[in-house]
Amino acid sequence: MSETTLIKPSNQVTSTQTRGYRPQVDVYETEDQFVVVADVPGASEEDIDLAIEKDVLTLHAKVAEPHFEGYETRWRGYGVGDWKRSFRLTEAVDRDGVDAAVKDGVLRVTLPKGKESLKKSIPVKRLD
Amino acid sequence: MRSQMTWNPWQELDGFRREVSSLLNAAPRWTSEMAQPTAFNVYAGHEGVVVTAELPGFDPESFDVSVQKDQVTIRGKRSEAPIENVRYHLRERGLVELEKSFQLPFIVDAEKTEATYERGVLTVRLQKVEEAKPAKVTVRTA
Repeated sequence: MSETTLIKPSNQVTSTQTRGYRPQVDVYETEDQFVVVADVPGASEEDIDLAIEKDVLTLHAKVAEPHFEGYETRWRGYGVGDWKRSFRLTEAVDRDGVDAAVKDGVLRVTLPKGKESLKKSIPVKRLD
Repeated sequence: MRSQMTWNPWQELDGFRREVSSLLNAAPRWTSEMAQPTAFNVYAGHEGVVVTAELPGFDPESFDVSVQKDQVTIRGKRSEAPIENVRYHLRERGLVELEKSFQLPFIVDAEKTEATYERGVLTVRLQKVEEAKPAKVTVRTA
């Protein structure tokens, strides 16, 4: 069966983003939704700003460097700072149905597919 | 003719790759294993050290921190069940299990070792045993 999606890629890249770390993400698609799973360790729900503006989904999770009284950094294996990443949405997403939750530093965003992109069987009539 | 086209809807706009900087030269006896693949940050003080690691989605019950003299071993597992019958567009998240040992430049007081797991970050406090702490010597005048 031929597969054609209603989703179009975009090669546009904006350079307005300020410095931040890029979280590792999984993005998968089920029959009726897209799911974005992002690792944002150090951030809880009040630190996460998730916004859709025009066709761009932007994730910004604020993370502050921990401070331990009487201790100073001796070894830095990873950098600590805000997580930032953007995705271009498509016509196929129902923006009003987008939902997000975070647990143990893992953000899960569900984006239901718009009605127009759900599979629909078209009955074929016979013309005599 | 039938055409088959697959677009990636999750066109990434931009973003900075995670940079890992190591102050290797400033760290006397932290073994280089600590840097990869799970990165740790280490904060040092008079009482001992605090070690942090970003381990998002781990099962808090799975963590096991064991201490033997100056050796510390940290174990843990990610709690997520594999997802089947979906079409992946991006699959970057990889770490599912952690087992890391490292050596500290002092004998650790196992009794006082504390570990907390919050917001996907594991924080382990490792204190020196009493006799390993620097003693304060009072200089008396004649």
